[in-house]
This record gives sequence, structure tokens and C-alpha cells, in this order.
Amino acid sequence: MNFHKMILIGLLLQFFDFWIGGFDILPDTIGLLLIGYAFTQVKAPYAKLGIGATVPLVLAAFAEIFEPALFTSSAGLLLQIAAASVQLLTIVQIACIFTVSNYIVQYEASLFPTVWIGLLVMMELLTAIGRHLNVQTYEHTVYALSFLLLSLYLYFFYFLWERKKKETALVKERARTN
Amino acid sequence: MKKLLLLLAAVGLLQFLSIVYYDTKMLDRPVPVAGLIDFTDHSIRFSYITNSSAPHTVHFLELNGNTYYPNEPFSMFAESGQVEHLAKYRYYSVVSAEIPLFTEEEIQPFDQPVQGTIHFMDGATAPIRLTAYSYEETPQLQSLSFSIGSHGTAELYKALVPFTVNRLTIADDRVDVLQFKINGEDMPLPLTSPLHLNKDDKIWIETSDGIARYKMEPFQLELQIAEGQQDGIITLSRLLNIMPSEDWVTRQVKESGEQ
Repeated sequence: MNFHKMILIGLLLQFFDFWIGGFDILPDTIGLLLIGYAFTQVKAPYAKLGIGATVPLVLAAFAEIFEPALFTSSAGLLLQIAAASVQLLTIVQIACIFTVSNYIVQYEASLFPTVWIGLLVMMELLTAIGRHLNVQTYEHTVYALSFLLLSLYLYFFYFLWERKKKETALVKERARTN
Repeated sequence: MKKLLLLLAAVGLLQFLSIVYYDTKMLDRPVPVAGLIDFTDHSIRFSYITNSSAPHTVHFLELNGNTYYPNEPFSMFAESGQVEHLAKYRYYSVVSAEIPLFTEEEIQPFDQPVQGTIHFMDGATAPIRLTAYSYEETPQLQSLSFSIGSHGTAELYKALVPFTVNRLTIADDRVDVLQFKINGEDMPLPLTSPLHLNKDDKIWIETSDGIARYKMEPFQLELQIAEGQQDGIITLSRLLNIMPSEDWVTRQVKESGEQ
């Protein structure tokens, strides 16, 4: 299984939740473990950082199996700090996915990684500053930005799918050349 | 990537400071605001100030050794312990709760305010002062039309019997009388002399609005009258409609000593 395919499946497992009897049968932990495993299978810049960012995310997702929505902005002080750290580590993880992906597909030009990471950072900034501003404006901005992020998240799957095809083609080409 | 990591470190620091500052604003215990027992509507309504991000939810109200549980909006999809915000701001919200009384005899009417205790889901408690309210019939007046909104209240009445108005007062410093008209003619306030009204005379009373401390908070206008040889008071009830402002809410929190 190539890098992009593992990342894609891992993200899909994270994206979809199937609750049966109060239990998520597709816990995020499995998806994150797969993403972490994908990083271990490549020798590329920032793959190790990708592993480093994924490990705490796996632990956080594991904790949420027993206590759903543990890391939220309405939790206690330490859990709020943990929630913010989880968000920042997720951005680091995504940035590592893009860096490794670029390395694998030989730096194919795309604006999407910059836009996607930029919006995620903006969302974090908004969370940090916005909650001290007018509550209605803040909530409306968060809803609007969340909708935009969701749309781009769906595009992220398509982006990875295309990169998966490219990676497969490159591997076949290398095999033929050798 | 290095630039991104530096940027994320800066964002992380900002978030940390933001979270710590926000946390210093949080209330450990909600601040009770006001409440009333409505003997006409058979309900207890009260409000309290709590944190906007993680609001306290009422478990029950303890009054005279009895416990009363709040009304929760029934929905298959509603989470238990939902709160109804009267006003929501950056740090604090005013939550308005309602408890239905199922029988008229459940609580005996009283004159002086009584003190109850709000018990919250997290175990916190807060004393709440409850006043009594009941709608009073006005056999001397018939309401013809009324309007209500954030601009104020206005109502047109018809006198059903002849009587004399000696004084018009509002026992609430949040509200003022804006207009008092008899048969379309402005009357000076306070009244310089008693006003005699005949049957079918039209009375128009317009008031300003004031901050409602909980949902459907009433205020009362009193007409001190003489009907024949008898003195009496006509009590007219209206509702306050202005949402508490953020400054007002913050002031209540400071005055409570919780911050």
C-alpha cells in the first residue's frame, strides 16, 4: 500500500464515525495509527516529525474513546490547553503529509497545501482571539469558516486520491526503468 | 516548514495566553439574578449568570424544604441539561429557567419575598430571592389594544365604570411613563389634580422599556383611584423586554464578589 493510500484511508477513518451502542466502531485511533504507520514507511524529509506529531494525537484519540469530546474549549484549563495542542499538532501532521507527499511525487506544484494550512492556522488564531470579542460575530465567523474548512477537507481527500494515482504511476515507472 | 513551525509556536503561545486569561474570567459558582413565583401562570421563573463557554445547568430548586425540577425542552434530539440563554456574551451568559407548578396549592401565596436555593448539576448552589406575582383583574377597565416591544409598551383601555384617578405610579425604577392620555388628550404627570373618568372614556398609557432580568419579567403600573366613596388601586401588568447588556451582566458579577 503506498503512502497516499494509507494516509487517505487513515483520514477517512478519522472523518467518519459509526456509533453502535454508544461506541464508535471506527475510532480515530485506528486512522491515526495508520497515518503514523504511513510515515514510518517512507524516507522523506519531515516524515519523523510526522510520526512525532501523530503519537500524541493517537494518545488523545485513545483517551476520547472512553470520554468523548474530552478536549473541547468548554473543558477545564488543562484540557483546554490539551485541546489547543491537539489542533496545532494536527496542523503539523497535515503539513508533514504535504511535505512527504511533495517529496514522493517530486514536488508537483499545487496551491492547495498553502491554502489549507493557512485556513487551519487562521481558525486557530480566530479561536484564540475571537472568544474575547463579540460572541455573535465570533460564532458566525466560526460557523462560516468551519463550512469552508469542511469543503476543503473534502477536497483534501480528492487531492490525496490524485496523489495516490500519481505515486502508483511513479512506482510502476521506476519498476519499468529498473 | 520551519517558518510554519515558528508560526504555530507563536499561535500556540497566543492560544495559551488566551485560554489562561479566559479561565481567570470564569465563575466557579453562578450568580443568581432574580426570580418570581407566578401564581397566575403556575410557574417559577428565575435567572442566573453563568459562564458562556460551559454554562451551569439547573438540577432543581429547593423552596421551603420542597424540590422543584425545571422544564426542559422536549425533543428526541435535545441534549439533557440544555440551557435557555436570555443573553449571551463573551464570558458570561444570563440563563433563564422555568419550573412549572402542577397544582395551584403547591405553593401558598405570600407577601414578602421568599428565599430558595438553586442546585446545579455540578453540585454548586446559589440562593435566589423569589417574589410573588399574580395577575389582577381590573373590573373598572377593558383593554382595547396593546403593543409591546423593545421600544416600550402601550395599551388603550376603556373605562367600564366612572371613577377618579388620583395618581399613576410605576413601582419599578427601570421604567417610566411616557404618555398618559385621556380621550386622546395628554395628561401632565404627576397629576396636578384628580381626573374624573366617565364610563366609555379611553385611557392610553405608554411606558418606556427596561431590562428584563429573566424571561417574561413583569412590571406593574398602579392607578390610585376613588370609585364612589371607596379608594382603591388598579394594578396593570406589563412585561419588560430589554435584554441585559454585557456591561450590566459584568456589573452584576462584580457586585456579587465572584470576580
